[in-house]
Amino acid sequence: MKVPFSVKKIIYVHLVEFFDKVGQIVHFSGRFFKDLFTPPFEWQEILNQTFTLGYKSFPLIGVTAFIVGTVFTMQSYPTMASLGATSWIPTMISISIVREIGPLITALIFAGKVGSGIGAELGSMKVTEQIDAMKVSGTKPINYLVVTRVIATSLAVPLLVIYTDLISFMGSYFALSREKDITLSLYLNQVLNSLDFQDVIPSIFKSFVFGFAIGMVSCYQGFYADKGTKGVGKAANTSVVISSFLIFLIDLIMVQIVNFLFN
Amino acid sequence: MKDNIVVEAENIKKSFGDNVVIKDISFNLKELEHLAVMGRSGSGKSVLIKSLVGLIVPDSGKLNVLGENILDMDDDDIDVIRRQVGYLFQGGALYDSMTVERNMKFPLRRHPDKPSESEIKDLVDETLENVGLLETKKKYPSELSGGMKKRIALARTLIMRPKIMLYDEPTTGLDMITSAEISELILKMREEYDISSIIITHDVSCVELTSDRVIILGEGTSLAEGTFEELSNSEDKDIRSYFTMIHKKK
Repeated sequence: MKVPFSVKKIIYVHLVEFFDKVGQIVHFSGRFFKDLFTPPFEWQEILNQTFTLGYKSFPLIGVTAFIVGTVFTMQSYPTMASLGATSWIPTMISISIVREIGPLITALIFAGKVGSGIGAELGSMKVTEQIDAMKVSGTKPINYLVVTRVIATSLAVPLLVIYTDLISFMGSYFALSREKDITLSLYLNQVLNSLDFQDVIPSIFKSFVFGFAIGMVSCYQGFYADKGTKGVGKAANTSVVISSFLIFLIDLIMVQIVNFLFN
Repeated sequence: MKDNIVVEAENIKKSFGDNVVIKDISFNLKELEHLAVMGRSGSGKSVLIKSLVGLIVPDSGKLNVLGENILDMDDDDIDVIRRQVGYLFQGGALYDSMTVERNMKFPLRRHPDKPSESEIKDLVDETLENVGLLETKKKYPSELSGGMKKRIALARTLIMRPKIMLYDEPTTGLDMITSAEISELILKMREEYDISSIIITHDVSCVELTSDRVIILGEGTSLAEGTFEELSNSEDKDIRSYFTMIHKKK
């Protein structure tokens, strides 16, 4: 069958667009890693961004973490009670929250709140030619805008994960103490005793990678946003979608790596 | 005006997909010369000016800025040229999360040969005073009018003491009085700082006031070149039509 010319042309255009995008991503990443080690180093801006991005997410992540801890305990209590294993609940909660739920919930909320914000902010700077203005004055916008934000997100997510874990434990204790006579100190003792190095360190490292991915994706989407207000909206939306997908993908890969290294 | 050539463009071509924006354009800019580039919307004026600072890369041709072929340069080398070329964007492109003062300090603080903080402060005050807006230092761009934004944007580029200024439609979107003020400011700045400039504009009054030479672009190429007087009195009525506004006013 003869393929119509228009189909060939469409495939050609899509291929060109695809490779153009790949080239753009490679250039952006290359520039990022180069600028990461090139002065001037914007320590003040990194601190500002880390504080702002982390602080912005505190209330939402706190409330969500508390609810997750509470609900998780309420849902698992009847099953554990039927097995006569309610004393294992703190251990189960601590391992599942520290290893998996804490980093995942935090990263997804962070991607939705902060990732979309970065995408929209840089997208709007792109549309109003502010990024071009930085370029033409020779002030290296990737160094100032991207490196600072990616370092900030990479630092903020692990810190927020520790916060999420602690608040989730509180939520869990709240639910458990309604069903069972248990003191806070006994509960925390059980929670902390059940955790070891291979639960905490991989979780923190995974959170760092989540933060890095969210920062890179959001900055890239904003930096190469299409012109117009539609482009800003698309940059914000795509930042969240791709970041969320990458979080699950990284999670899957990290689980395999951790299992390979520690089991 | 001196004989040294600071910008030299030869056979520049640029397309976006099937859309040929620049077919073949060649021109040069002499030291301390002020060149106006006119043309209808879509004639490739902005593409041309953006090529001069590496924001857009031409498909072919030769582009020398301050004696360097910028088409052969990587990002770091081109930044050295960019620091000597000021660019005034159509919308000003002020950093909206920064105050006017921080906008002004930003390029200096990020310069490899960063001046001291007291020198930066003096430069900011002096340049803001030159554009008559010293009192706006603590304001954010959202608190400024369109004309003020343009003047601050101009000050932000001039603070780097550029050898060449590129103006992308400096008076577009402004009322007649503010447009005239901006044109006069361009004239004042060129005298104050000894700079060569390329002005992309539709504003005939701005061209008449500020330019030594005019190029008219159309259909992706240079349609005519000459002084304001020569082109506005051209025998070709199509060329004259670019200046009809001022003829009507007279």
